[in-house]
Amino acid sequence: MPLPGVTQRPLRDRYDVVIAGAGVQGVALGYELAKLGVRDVAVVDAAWPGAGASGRNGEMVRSAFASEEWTRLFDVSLRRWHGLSAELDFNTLFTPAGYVVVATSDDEVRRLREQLPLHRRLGVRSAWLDERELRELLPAAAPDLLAGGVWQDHAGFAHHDAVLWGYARAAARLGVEIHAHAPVQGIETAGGRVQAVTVGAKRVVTPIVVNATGAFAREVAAMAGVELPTQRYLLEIMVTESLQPFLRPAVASLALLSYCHQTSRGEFVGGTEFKAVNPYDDMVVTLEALRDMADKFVRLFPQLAGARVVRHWSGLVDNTPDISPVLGPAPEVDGFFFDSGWTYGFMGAPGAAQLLARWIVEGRPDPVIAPFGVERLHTGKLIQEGAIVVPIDEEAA
Amino acid sequence: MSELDPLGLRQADGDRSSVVAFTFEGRRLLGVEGEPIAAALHAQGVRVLGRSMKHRRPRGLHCVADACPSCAMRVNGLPGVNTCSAPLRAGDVVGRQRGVPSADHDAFGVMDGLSRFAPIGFQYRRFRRSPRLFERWERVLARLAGSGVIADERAARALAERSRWSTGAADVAVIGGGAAGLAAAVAAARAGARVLLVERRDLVGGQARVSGDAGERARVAELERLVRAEPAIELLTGATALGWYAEDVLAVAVGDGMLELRARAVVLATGAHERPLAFADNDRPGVMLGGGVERLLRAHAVRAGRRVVVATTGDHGYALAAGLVADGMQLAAVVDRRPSAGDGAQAAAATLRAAGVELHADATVAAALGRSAVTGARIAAAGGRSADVACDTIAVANGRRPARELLLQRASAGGLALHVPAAVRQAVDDPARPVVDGWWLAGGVGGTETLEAAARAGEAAGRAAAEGVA
Repeated sequence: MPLPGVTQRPLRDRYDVVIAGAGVQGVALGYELAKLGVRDVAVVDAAWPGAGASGRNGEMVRSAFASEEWTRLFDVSLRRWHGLSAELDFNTLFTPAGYVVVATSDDEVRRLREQLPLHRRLGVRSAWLDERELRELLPAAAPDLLAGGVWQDHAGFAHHDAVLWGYARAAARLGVEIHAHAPVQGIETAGGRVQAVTVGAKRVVTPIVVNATGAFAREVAAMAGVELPTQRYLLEIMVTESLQPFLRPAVASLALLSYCHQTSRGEFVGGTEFKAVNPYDDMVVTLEALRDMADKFVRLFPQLAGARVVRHWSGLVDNTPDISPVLGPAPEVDGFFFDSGWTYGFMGAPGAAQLLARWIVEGRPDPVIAPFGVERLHTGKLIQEGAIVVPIDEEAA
Repeated sequence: MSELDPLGLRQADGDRSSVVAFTFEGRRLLGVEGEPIAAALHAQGVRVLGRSMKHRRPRGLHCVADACPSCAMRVNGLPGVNTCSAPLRAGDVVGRQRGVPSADHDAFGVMDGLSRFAPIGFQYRRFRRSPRLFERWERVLARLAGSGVIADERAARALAERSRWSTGAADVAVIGGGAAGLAAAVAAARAGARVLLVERRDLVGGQARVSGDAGERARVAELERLVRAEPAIELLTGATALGWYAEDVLAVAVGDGMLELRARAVVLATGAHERPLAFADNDRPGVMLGGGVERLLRAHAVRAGRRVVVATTGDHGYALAAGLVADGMQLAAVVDRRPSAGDGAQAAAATLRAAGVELHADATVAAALGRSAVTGARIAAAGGRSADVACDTIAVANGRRPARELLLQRASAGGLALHVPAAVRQAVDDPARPVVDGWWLAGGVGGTETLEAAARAGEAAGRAAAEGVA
């Protein structure tokens, strides 16, 4: 059975744009390009749409962060999330059940509270919840972990497969070709310009290549002779058997380095991160991570003790030194664009795809997306985002 | 109590049995300490153990192998306990997880009739243009969804306090205590290895232990005796190996805790799962896997029902039926999809015919009749005629498939070049050869079909594993 939106036709000899990687970034970008009239687009994937991190993430969506750069970009996305099902004519199962980032220590409270004036200034909807309000919102959570939190009542979570399918079908309707099992093997450049890509055994002529290959972005960039200073990183996540509702919003806990939500089918989905960098760079699952998740989620929701984990899987992301995505053109090679380096890529895709498509078509960036250009990684002017659930090296931060 | 109530029988069965009281939805019931909770309920006529999630269809005892969620119940404040394997303790408080007002008479049972309004995938089409309606619908859905309610606060706290994470090591770990695993453990110990034998049930011996063939039962009893007499073997029962992780760490759930097991060599002897058969309403309480019927009867002295129809695709269905008749159960019919019974089934078929059991060849069970319990089987002959036969149990005998979950888990990640079907084929040809470095397959998981073949494969694998670490 063909996958939704995936073409059965062979690749043609030339395209206006070839997008490497049919994750949520690549497929959404193909859709946005087609909306702007660039319809001769191929999205090629070494495996199939959503085989990588797009089908393996925690599905959570918010826009209230600590940095202006992140907050502005993800708020464009969050606004798009609300109309996405109607626009794609496919229910992405986006559930605006709210999203709360929970602080436990005084330091975390201080760090999170500092964001609120920023959110006000940018017109981003958020609120501070005190202990009492948090306990009301999360009746099953351990009260001693709930010192305060940043709350967005219109954020939430969606179903990652549905989002991929929705985008893929909509893109295909506009003429975008999505090719599965079509790995990019090489990128030809001449005179500082992209000339062609080799996909499988086929040479495809194109002036524009977009690198949306997720965990493999560094290798694909190297094919064009472009350096991308990223590090591959393994994340693990689990889902329990279905339970009757005990948790309405999506929750992230800074103290526990964890994030979770309960789907409307009742499964509890959550992932945690270690303080130390996970040494694996392929998709193994580790008992260490399962134990960490069990310990932390039973700590956060004590009544989860005894709930059975039905699946546990891993995914790979490509981290930049500031954990922020790299978006826009590579200065060394005309026609080579990044849509890479994502860690929060699922929630960021609808907004970033729209803005990046405009950058590609119009040749200049919207101010919201401009700060994510690759130059910052070479000049060292990194984005300082302090409200994400990742193990940030204290010395570097 | 009911005819199925074998309490007297079980008490007479041996001194190990002791009768204890437990509570089922406010009723005080009796059972044998240590038997599966569901066996105690079944013996006393409780057939509906829960309701399915979306369609709210009644669910009953099905596999008796801890391999499906059909018997999941709330036990002592914890959700999702598979009662076909959870042992009964005095004072247990047991209840069904869904059903308003009860799982017997669930008002949401109407969902089953409404299912044509909610075909598979309907959620991606509905409400896509009306986010507000979708949000409301999701809140309704959330009330309907969910198997159990999260644990009671006290039960959760007690569980968290008593659960332990421990680590263990062995020269050779044998996973599965059926014939192959028992033979592997003995052979490995005799070759000088320190062996840990991990068995998910409280009883070793696998399916052979509850076979209708007395010779098979005696053979595994002998293997068990050898294992227990061997000081180099540590036998861990009630322990489920549930994961094969990076760096070849095995996760073993032991009681309420977890054992992180590192072994220098591992023999996987996880056996095989019974295959179900597809027919209308094959999920009704009373449709069971044949091995489950045997286990219930011979390990726990509980009859699955008063009148049984066996639905089969092979000679083993006749052996199952003849064994049940020999042990005093009433068989209504054996329904064989094949044009005629094979040579291996002729003796059993003759016995069954003499006992007045209808034998239908070239026929299938087309449907289970009844709603909250099976009341009959619709038997469809090849010519298109069909007839209803009254029964309260349909026992399915459709062969087995290797229980290869641990292999698949390991093969899917970790840069390990392991092609699972090829590994299974290799184990059939040469059980002494590891499928990957340090790992052997033996018995049903390695494709054997008879007890003797499983024991031989186990012995070869166990010896090779021990020699590998010597």
